[in-house]
Amino acid sequence: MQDNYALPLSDEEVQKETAVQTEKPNKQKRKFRREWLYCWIVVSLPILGYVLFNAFPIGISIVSMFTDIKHNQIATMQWNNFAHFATFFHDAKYLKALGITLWLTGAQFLSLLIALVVATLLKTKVKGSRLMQTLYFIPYICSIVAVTIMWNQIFSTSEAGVLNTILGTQISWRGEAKYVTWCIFTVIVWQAPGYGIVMFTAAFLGVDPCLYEAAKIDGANGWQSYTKITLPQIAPMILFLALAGWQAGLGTFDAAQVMAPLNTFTGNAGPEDMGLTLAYYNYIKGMQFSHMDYASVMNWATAIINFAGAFLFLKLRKRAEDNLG
Amino acid sequence: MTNVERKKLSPKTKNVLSKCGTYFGLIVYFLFLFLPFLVVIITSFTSDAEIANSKGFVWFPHLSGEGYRMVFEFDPNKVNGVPSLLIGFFNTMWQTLLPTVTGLLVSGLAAYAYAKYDFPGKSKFFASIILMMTIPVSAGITGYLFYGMLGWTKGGASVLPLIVPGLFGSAGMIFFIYPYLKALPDGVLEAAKIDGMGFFGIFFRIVFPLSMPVFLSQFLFGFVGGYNNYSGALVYLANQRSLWTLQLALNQLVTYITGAGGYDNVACAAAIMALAPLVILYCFVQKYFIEGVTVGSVKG
Repeated sequence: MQDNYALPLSDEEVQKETAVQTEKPNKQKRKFRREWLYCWIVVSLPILGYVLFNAFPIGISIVSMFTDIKHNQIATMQWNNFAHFATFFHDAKYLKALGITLWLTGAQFLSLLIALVVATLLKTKVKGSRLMQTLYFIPYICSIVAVTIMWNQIFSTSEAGVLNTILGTQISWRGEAKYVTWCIFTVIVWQAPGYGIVMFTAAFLGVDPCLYEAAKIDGANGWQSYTKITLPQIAPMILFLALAGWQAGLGTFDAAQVMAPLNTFTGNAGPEDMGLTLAYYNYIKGMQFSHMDYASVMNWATAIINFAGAFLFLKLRKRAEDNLG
Repeated sequence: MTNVERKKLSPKTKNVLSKCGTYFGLIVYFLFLFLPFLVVIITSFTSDAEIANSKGFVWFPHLSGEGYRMVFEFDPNKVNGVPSLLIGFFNTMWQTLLPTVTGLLVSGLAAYAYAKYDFPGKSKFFASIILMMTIPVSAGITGYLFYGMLGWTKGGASVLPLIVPGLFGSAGMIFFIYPYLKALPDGVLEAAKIDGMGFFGIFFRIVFPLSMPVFLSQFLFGFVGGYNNYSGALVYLANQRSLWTLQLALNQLVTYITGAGGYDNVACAAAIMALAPLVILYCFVQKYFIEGVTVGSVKG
């Protein structure tokens, strides 16, 4: 799950924390203690793991962009004079995948909106809202493979499919290019809001109740106090979740891969490639066709797009925090 | 509704109306979430013949256990006669528990060292952890090249890329646990030290039991992520049938079944069998799940 998004401390707090530790006077030379050895070992391990299994793979991935590698065997690496970049800038498929990915990222933002609305309804503390919150979280822990199998029943081709039964149609929802992306979209919207609901519920609890009291005395109605107090107060949370949604959206893979499986004859991901997300394209290039060198180029291009968006959301979040004072 | 009309409603009616609206919204959303579950459950208990002969979805089938039986009989991916879903479940368990538990232990010990010991170089170590945390770059799928170089993409070693990196803990986990350990009173630790307990003794006998909830919610986090991990298994384990995880086995099985045409009931039964363990676990410890999601990020 997205544990990397849940920063327990903000950067500033962390810096404060570190500053305090460095300030400590180091007057008398301390005698070596065995505990220090243990400390060094346990704090080194995560850093060692990061260097070995993050920094090294990243380095190799970056180098591979400039080389030809046969069958994904690094021993065959050969400088290729930027050939991959030349190909990349004329890769219409990448642009198509980017379009579909942004479309599916829309599903993440729609989920965010749904989460906000549902959390707002839960906030009114009607009977059973605690139970509801617990139930609403269930889709989020379900595996995307099982969830997709579930939705395949609803989008089933045959006349016994649920959607076709209800609409009285006989449409092959996943088999037609104009519908298949919407099928993936639906699966994401079904699954993603649970996380946001829980986060928003927690954020609502963090709003200072005095603000509502003051607004009430000033004669604000419910809607006014929601838009003028609640929303600005939870704005940092909204932007935090928007950032998480942006990153999850750009990484959309599982739902697309399961719902629009690769046709090994045509090389298409779903009908007319309409299930092709960036991550899926990377997988097809890198694993199915063993061009991990080219996949690296796409991987880092996507990373740049990711950063651009992340930077924007972080800026907005900073501004929202500053507005709160 | 115009302003004039709104004034006519008494506060009491307005209250009732807004309550009704709230319930309506919550129930509509509930139906959106749980009708798909109902659909798979119903389908899994319908016989294939009934599905094939019916015009439209069968809402009230004659109960049949055919789907669940066929999951095991139909399986084309059996290893030594053991159904792939069972092997997948077993593989998922050890491939998830091993890195989650070890990684959590390492992260917990690191957080403990940062929170409770003043060792030389601490601030430098801490700064590098922050750096790790703030640079969210990863090689993703292209890490395959690196693991290929190590020889970890062939045969039984294919499982290593999914396990070994997790054994070292992560900056995210350290940051999650750190504030809890920081908040533990130093007096308890001092007393233990006087009693002659060492670095690890204090951690396992005092710190760990006292901060059980935070470790539990982090564990559940990692466990759910591992249980549902599909893409990692797909990249590294696709050719190693005996190492397939549950999600991989499930997708291969269902692709095979539905590829043959019909047998939606078997696909649904397989999906339910894959979902059930986690949903049941969730029902028992949902408090920690939700805590694990929210704690610490509320400030953000």
